[in-house]
Amino acid sequence: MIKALVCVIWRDLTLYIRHRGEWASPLLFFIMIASLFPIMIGNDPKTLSKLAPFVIWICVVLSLLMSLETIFRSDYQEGTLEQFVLSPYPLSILLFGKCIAHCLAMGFPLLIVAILFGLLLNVSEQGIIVLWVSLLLGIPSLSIVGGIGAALTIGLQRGGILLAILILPLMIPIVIFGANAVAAANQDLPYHSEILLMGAFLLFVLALGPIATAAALRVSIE
Amino acid sequence: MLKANAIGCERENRSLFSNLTFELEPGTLLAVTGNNGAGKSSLLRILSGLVCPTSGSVSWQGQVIKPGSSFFSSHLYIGHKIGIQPALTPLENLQWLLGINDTAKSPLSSSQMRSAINAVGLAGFEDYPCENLSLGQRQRVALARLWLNAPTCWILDEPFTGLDDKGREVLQNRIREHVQIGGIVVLASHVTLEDFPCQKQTLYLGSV
Repeated sequence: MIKALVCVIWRDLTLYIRHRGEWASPLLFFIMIASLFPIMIGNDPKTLSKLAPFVIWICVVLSLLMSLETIFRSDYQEGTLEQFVLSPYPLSILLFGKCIAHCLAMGFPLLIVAILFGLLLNVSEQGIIVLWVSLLLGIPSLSIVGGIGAALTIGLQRGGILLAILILPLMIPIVIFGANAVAAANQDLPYHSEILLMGAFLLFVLALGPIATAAALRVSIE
Repeated sequence: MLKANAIGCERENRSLFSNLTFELEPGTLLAVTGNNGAGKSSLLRILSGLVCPTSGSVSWQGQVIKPGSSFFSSHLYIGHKIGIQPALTPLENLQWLLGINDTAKSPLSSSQMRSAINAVGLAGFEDYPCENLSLGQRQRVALARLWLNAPTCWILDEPFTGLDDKGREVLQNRIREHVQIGGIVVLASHVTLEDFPCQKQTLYLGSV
């Protein structure tokens, strides 16, 4: 089972490397939006530092949404997902592999870019550490939750906007806790409860997300 | 072995077929024929366990197939969407296809995969991305699985699409070989099957 999981992760990472354009566009989108904010708001370090956690978290969610739209698309068109369904291994494990690959390929670059922007927007040192931890917990949760929505909408033409409508409400708690934790740390306030709740949310979606994704996909394939 | 119990299929409120019952024993070739839109592909998707029939059930070795049953490690389905990723090379495509399908303990070596690619006549193309290959060549990549630890039951939907005469011959020989050693092959095809000197049944879908 582990072998099949590793095989899917390896395959998807190779695909991300081959489709560099597709891989890089959410990152460029992040950089564009995040640099628009300081241009609009002005260069007052205090205001920037106060808004930075929210700006960064919004950009993370939007660029992840953008990349999630394509997570299953080519696999659906080429018939890969049919082979996944017919595999003797559980479908949820194989799809979990795709989510892990998505986190590795999209999440890590986002993590680095987000921290760079945290520094640019004058977030305090403690704020940067909390931003890093909150993204580390938040990006996998967002990716798994998004995977469920992507599996539900693959059969649809232009499912992108429907995907956003479907899963944004589920993403909101993660964003609120994440941004608030960073904002609190930035002002030297306690932030542990938010981080712990994000950890709890991650464990919850880790347990149920792959099963839900598999069920959604079976419906879409028919 | 593979048994259809009174299966029926509906699409868009139109009944494609109903009450279809048959049983395939080891060493049988079932050729599914019929006009376009008669439900050949739907039948094959149902038999492979990809779609549930509207009525009836499909069973393998006496057990109704459902997610997780042993049927999924003993059959192979190649449909219209052949499951080949254009950005990957034939070798990489075979590696992941076998990786998610092969339950054997010892993984296949890449030299075995190369010889399978050789068998379908793609020697020299192992390391080219499939997007540079023609339709027929991609079909050959998908068919290379038939040469690698092939399971008992093959369900092939129009496998001759895009193949040239030589490719057809190679595939026909491989199918014949498999049936002779006791395999089951379900084939939807417009190709005349007179060249198959083995036990074969024909199923015609549609109104006569």
